[in-house]
Amino acid sequence: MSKKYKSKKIIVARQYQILALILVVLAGGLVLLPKQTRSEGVSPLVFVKQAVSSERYISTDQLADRIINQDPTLLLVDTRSKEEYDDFTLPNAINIPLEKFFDEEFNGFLNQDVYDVVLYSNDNFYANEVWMLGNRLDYKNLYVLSGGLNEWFNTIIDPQKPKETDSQKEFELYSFRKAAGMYFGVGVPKTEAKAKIKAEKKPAKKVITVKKKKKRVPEGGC
Amino acid sequence: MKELERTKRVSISAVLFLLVVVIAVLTFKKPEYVFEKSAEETLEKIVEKDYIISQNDLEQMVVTDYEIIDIRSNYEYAKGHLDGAINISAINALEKESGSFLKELGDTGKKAILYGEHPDEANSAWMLLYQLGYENAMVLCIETSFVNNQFQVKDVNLEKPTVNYAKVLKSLMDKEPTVVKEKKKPKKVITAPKKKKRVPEGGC
Amino acid sequence: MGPLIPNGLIPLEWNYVIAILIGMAFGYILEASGFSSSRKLAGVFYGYDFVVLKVFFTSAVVAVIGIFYMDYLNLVDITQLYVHPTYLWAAIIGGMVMGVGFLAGGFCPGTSLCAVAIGKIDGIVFTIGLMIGIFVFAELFDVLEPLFVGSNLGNITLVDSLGISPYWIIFIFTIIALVSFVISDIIRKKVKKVFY
Repeated sequence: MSKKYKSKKIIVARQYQILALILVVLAGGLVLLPKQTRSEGVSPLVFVKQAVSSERYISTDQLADRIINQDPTLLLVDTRSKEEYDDFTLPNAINIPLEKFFDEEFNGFLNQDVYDVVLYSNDNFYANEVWMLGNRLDYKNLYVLSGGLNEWFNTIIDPQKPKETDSQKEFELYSFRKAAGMYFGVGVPKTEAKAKIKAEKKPAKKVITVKKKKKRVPEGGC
Repeated sequence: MKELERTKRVSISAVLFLLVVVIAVLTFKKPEYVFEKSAEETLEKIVEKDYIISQNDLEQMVVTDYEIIDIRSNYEYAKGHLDGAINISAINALEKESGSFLKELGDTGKKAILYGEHPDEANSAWMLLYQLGYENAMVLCIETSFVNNQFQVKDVNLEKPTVNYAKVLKSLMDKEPTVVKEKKKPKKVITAPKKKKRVPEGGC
Repeated sequence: MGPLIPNGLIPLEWNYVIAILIGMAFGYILEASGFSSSRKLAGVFYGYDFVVLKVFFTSAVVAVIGIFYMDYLNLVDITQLYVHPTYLWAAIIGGMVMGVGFLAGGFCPGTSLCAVAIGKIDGIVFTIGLMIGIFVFAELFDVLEPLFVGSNLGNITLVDSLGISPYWIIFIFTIIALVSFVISDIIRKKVKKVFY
């Protein structure tokens, strides 16, 4: 460049030598730094917060209401074994046994943001395990049927008749359950069949899925 | 003069770059808790179900070999708990004392027996601990409740259907056949969402 | 933590605003470092000015080191960053076409707009040519489509195709950059000076 450099016969100025050194040191630092293990999914803190919350549970009454109203966003997932599923399951449910969680065939049903997936098993246990795995991997819209099929049978299919002394609310709930049971194929005794049963319509819980906006991919290039 | 200015600019930007790196390194805090087990490993383990023990199994174990941990809230714990149980409620599991306590337990080779209101809760806590790398935890398969000023413990049969669903439903249906909904095959199509890649930024 | 916009730390709507601001800064830097002169850009080929090579190599090295440090320090999740898909033959042929255009015109698309902004006539002519090129390409797209979408290797990087740790690649890349700077300086000294 200038005469000064020429006379000293340096190829590059000192500043640039330092700059080059900085780059080499930094790049070398990357090589030498101890490697960390990265784990997939959410952080443990988020995991605990979600796991402790009971937001994931959906009651049998809520579920019955959503099935009867033919909620298009509902997807039922039976987490029990194939045999149990073949024996009895809820209408339109699909079978994803716990151990098949990562099967490509099934994983797409769990890892999505289109449907509200309601997981159930005989009680909460398997459904909960699937939910916890989903929680770890940050799957959205997973729910657990509270009490599972046992609870489903106790409430919807074969509800307990409330006592005479119970509140009006109990009776309304009972008639709703009776009506829901009819929908799921339970015969009704003649005396009750004639009585007009009005099921109280509960507004189906709307879950808004946040759709990410798709962006056009701009082409780069210089 | 011009030459001088330019070099200065370069030096300043280089120093800034270096400064950013140094500050970032200095402020870097290693995350205290990192999941050590992947979700796949966890699934393998939970399918085995060998970490779930009943009260009988517990009685057969040597008392000095384990420590019982109550994962319910302090309040529930204060009302009543198993003999010799220590209270670490699930929500506080990641706090410092609990973490170091569990680590010490692991070092001494003792088992941590978790129980809660229902095995579900204990299992959630177990899954947390397992994924964090504590492999010495176990789940005690009991249901606890507090009735009539008494702390009650009940064994639970996990995933046992209370009735034979198909049979019961059939018998109920036979009473008087009503409209039986035909089971439709599910025809929900889900396109597996691809990981959305971020938009590229242009070159020069 | 980052990237900031996909992780919701900055609302999506700000995307284009930020893009414009960065674009303006970029344009300013291009112009300030003299990249709106076609002679400077062509100088790389004739060997009297290697600023273009140095600038782009340096920015690549600085960016890659910075990003990997940020990833290491959990400031950016590198797996969330976009990797441009590699269309092998399209890239090779397109690169050659661009190289010829670069040399003949003395601009790349970005710097030609810089030149237009400061009112250079050659820049304006170049930009008009650019538009004609885009038009021709669009008209011929049916013919060129197999090349355009063919031989797609996916979103791969050197790490995938070489199977070496990214940190080593960065280190080697840095060394290559520095060596090329020294060599380019030596070449420049041997070539007759051109004043422009």
